[in-house]
Parts: sequence; C-alpha cells; structure tokens
Amino acid sequence: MKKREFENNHVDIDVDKELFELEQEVMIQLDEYDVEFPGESEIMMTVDAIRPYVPVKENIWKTSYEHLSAIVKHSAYEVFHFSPIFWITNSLLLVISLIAIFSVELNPYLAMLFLAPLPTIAGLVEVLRSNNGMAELEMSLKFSWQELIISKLLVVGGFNLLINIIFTISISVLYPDIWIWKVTLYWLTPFTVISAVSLVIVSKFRQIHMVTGTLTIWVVISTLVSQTTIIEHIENLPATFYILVTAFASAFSIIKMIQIYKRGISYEFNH
Amino acid sequence: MPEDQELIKEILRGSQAAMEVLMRKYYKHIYALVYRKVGNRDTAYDLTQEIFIKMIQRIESYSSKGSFKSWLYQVAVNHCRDYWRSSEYKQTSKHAELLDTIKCEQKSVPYIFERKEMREQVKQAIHSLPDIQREAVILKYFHHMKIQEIAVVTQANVSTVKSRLKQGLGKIAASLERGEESEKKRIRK
Repeated sequence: MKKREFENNHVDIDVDKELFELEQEVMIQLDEYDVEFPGESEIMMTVDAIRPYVPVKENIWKTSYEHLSAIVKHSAYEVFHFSPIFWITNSLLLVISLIAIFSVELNPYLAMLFLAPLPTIAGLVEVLRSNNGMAELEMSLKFSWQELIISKLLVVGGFNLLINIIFTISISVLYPDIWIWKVTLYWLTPFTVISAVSLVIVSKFRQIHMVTGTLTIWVVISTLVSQTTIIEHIENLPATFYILVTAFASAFSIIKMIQIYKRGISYEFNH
Repeated sequence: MPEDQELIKEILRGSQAAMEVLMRKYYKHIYALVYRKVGNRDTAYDLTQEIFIKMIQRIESYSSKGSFKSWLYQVAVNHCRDYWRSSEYKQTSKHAELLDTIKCEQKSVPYIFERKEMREQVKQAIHSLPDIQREAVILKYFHHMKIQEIAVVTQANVSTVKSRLKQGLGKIAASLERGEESEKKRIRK
C-alpha cells in the first residue's frame, strides 16, 4: 500500500485531494488483480511470429556490387558524352609530351612525374563544367547526382591511367635501359595525389577556377622541382616514400569517393 | 541493457536479436495491460502478439523525439480500442456472456463471493467500467504512469484523464463495497 502511494502520488503533481482519497479507498484491493503471464514457449512463439516483419538485413557486398556496376555502366555511357575539347586537349597533351621526351631528351622519369596528373586536372573542367546541363537533369531521373559525378571522375581517372600506361610502354620501348618500376612509381604518385586533391575540389570547392588554380600550382611546383638540386633530392628519395604516398592518397581517394556517393553532392553543387 | 534507441537502430538494420531483446523488455508490460483490459488469457496473448507485430511494422515511423515506451503503449491502447470495435470482439463477448450466464445459473452470483476471491471482485469491478475509464485506471495503478503520461498515451488531455480516473475509481469502490455487503449478508444467512 505504502509502495503504491509513493509510486503514484509522491511524484504525480496532477493527483488532487479527491483523487487521492479515492485511491486510498481502493488501491489495496487493486493489488489483488494479478496477471497470468504466458510461459516461455508461448513468448517464443510470439517472437517467431514477429520475425518475418523485421526489416530485411542489407547484404552490403551485394548492394555495393550493384552500385559499383551501375557506376561503371554509366561511365561507359559518359565516355561518349564527354566534350570533344576534353579528348582533343588530352590527345594533344599526349602527343606533345611524347615528342618533348624524345626530341628534347627530357629525363623520362621526371617527365612522367610532371605530366602524369595533367589529364586529371584538365578532366575536372569537364566534371565541374556540365553539372547543371540539361542532359544531366534528364539523366538524373535514372541516376543520382552522386553517380553522375563519380562516373565522370572514373572516366577522367581511367583515361589518365590509360595515358600513363601508354607513356610507360612507349618509354620502356624506346629506352630499353629504363627501370619500369621507377617510371611507374614516378607517375603513380603524383597521379594518386592529384586525384585525391581533385576529389576534395569536387566535393568542397566545386568551382571551375579551382581547376585553373590547381593547374597553376602544379605548373609552379613542376618548374620549381625542375631545379637540379631539387631533382637530385627527389631522385634520392627511397621507393618506400613513393609507395607510402601513393597508398595514402589512394586510400584517401577511396574514402572520399564513398563519402561523395553516400552523402550526395547535389546539395553542395546547388548551395 | 542497450537503450531502446540503439535497439531500434539495430532492428532497422535487420537485427532479429535486437527485435527479441526489445520485445522481451516490454512483453510483460504490454501483456499485463492487455490482459487487465480484456480479462482473458488467450485474447490477451493474441492481442499482445498483434501489438508487437504492429510495433515492428511501424517502427520506422517512430520519432525518436518522444519516449519509446509511451509510443508503444499508445500502439497497444489503440490496438485494444480497435479490438473493442471489431466484429471479433462482439462475437467473443457474446460467447463470453453466454458462458457467464451458464456459470451464474450453475453457481449463482453469491457463490462467486462465497469463494472470497477478491481477485475476481476486483476483476469484475474493473471490467464493469467503460473502456476509457478502465484504460486510465490500468495505466495509472498497474503501470504506475503519471497522469501526464496517460494523457499522451490515450491522446486525451490531463483534466479528462483525471475525470476518468475519479469516475473509474468511484465505480470500483462502489462495486467492491456492494460485493462486501453481499458477502456479509451471505454469512449472516
């Protein structure tokens, strides 16, 4: 009885005198109305009856595969819808670079180091330029904005990768003495770093003039690095340094792409 | 024990284990509420099961701003109200009335008191109340809810709940008094 009084009235400010008196009259008898609870097996039957209504657990791997495959398919579509300027600029860059390497006899390692990220920087113009175009609006009925951006970035990155591989093969054919792994590390490192920077630009700054800025910064860095003393320092850096930078930049890029995909980018583009 | 919010998040991710933990945490409370409302073990068991199915089906719509307990009680109260209105209840109650009549004819009303089962008296007194009064009394005196909480669960205002409680308790007191008098008369005879 005392316990009930405490539980019900001590803390309930809405109980007035009349109600309190009524409670005193009947509360002790109310305690008599106990409950016949079901047994464990009956409770388990209820648990089993509820099971089919629990939301279905998502298969992360299956869902990720489906998303990835949609992005790759859309990238294939984007290849044919990129501005011709992008392809022309990059093709010219490839030809000029190859001519420069072989005619001016540039250090092939350093040439790769400086030229490797340029197509990605140029590609950012394409990614940022057309994000408000009608074609994208139409496509957005089928694809989310995140998928569109990631697809374009994949095309740009994939194309850059292809160019670098062509460079590497060309150099290794024309310079038989060249150390292929060194060439690969020399282009892979700036390529991954610039790709990571590009993702930050796309997700945070999203301004076309940021691309010009990045390009300028890269040209300035390249010019500075071309100084003989700095070249020596770069060439003396251990391979592990390049591997670590590449690994870090790659991991950063993957995380950033997942973030863009999950969080969406349309908001950032439009606000 | 994990917090309700954590369990709900897990359930939304498809965790059967979290569902079982959450259901077991509230099973006895909800069953007791339903049992005292309907006064029948089998019906209470079935209704409780249906309430937990509704809980899982609607768990996505639960807004984490309010207390989950209040939300669940609200689902339970509404489900019981739906049950009173259903044809299933009308059929069951007719059957129950018939059984009661047979029992009364066999044993007579005073015989129930003769057994001195206070539980039966209280049960009958509670079940003689209109549904909304019974609901308020059960939530207040068996589930130890404050009047404010009852108002939220039953979607009524505080003064209405107070009025229901007063009327309900008044009727219970009168019913129990009648029961005692009848018992005294029976002993005197």
